[in-house]
Amino acid sequence: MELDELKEIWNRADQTATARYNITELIYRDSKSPLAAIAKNLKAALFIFPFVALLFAGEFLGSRHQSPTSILLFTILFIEFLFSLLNYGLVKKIQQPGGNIKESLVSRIALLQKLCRGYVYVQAGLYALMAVLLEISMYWQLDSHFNGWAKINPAIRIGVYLVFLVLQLLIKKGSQKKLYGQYLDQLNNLAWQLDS
Amino acid sequence: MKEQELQNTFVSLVKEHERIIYKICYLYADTQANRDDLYQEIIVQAWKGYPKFRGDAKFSTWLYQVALNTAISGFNKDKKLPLVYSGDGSLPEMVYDNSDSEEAEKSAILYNAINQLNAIEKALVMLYLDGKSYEEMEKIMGTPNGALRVKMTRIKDKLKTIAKTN
Repeated sequence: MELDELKEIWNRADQTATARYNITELIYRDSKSPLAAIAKNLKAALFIFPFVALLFAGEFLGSRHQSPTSILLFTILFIEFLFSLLNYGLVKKIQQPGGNIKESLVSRIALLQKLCRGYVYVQAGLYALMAVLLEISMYWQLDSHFNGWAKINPAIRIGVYLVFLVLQLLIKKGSQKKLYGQYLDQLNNLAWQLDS
Repeated sequence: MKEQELQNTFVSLVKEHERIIYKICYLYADTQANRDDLYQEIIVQAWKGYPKFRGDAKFSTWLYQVALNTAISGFNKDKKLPLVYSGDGSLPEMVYDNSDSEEAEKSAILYNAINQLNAIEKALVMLYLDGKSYEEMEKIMGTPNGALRVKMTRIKDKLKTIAKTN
């Protein structure tokens, strides 16, 4: 039997298929797509920040002289929060249905890659910034908490920063691969199927 | 347009074109439970995107795009399973019920062959069976008309080979 012969059967069946779903009820259900799961995780991360802000607010309001380390930590966490917010917006954007298949695949791949790369490198940048600011604060002796760490040989300190940076880069890359890797591979494979 | 009015228009349009979704569910989901989930996911995605549907394309073309996008790249019920389901080769009841035994046997062979195609090829076969012109297929898939024709010829040959092997 040729494909063209199936056309007739296909269209005959088309006439007799019966409805069995309640569309009005279905439209308000939650999405089960992988992107919806990612968006849910990012949203959960956003909800943590108000509690962090509350904790820091307690410290900032409680003492007259704020420790530079607390301000630094708060700034970094705030940048993380902004970045999560940006990622959440990005995932919401990818979730928008519509557009032809190729357009949708290409934009999903590009946005997901941007999201993965952005996450890994922004995090690495934040850790590097934290190390630099820590060194500056120790040089100007802004925080007595780090007096012990300041006495250690600077070469060892830099070595520790580098090891920490590389480790976090590897861990973040691994976690990104676990989160988006399979989905990205799948999308790339589909784009290849479309072009081949 | 008010929410209620928007919802009513959407529901009646989807009901009118519901068979598009059924067919996609039958091609891309392997069990009835997965078909139900895929159907629900398509409706959810279509409803989300409906306010942006401007009507410059036919509703059916837009629904094909949303439904195929969801089935191909936006649906994953079980994290342990691949994101795109490969069918189990069973014959969709909506086709089987309408065929005599000889016809059913032949179409079963062809259906099993279709199930062995990749996700994009399945989409093309479905659009072809639905009698879509290559211009409409281009709008839905985003692949140039000429390339689609070449692909369709290749798919037909592939189906023949698979059917013979089986």
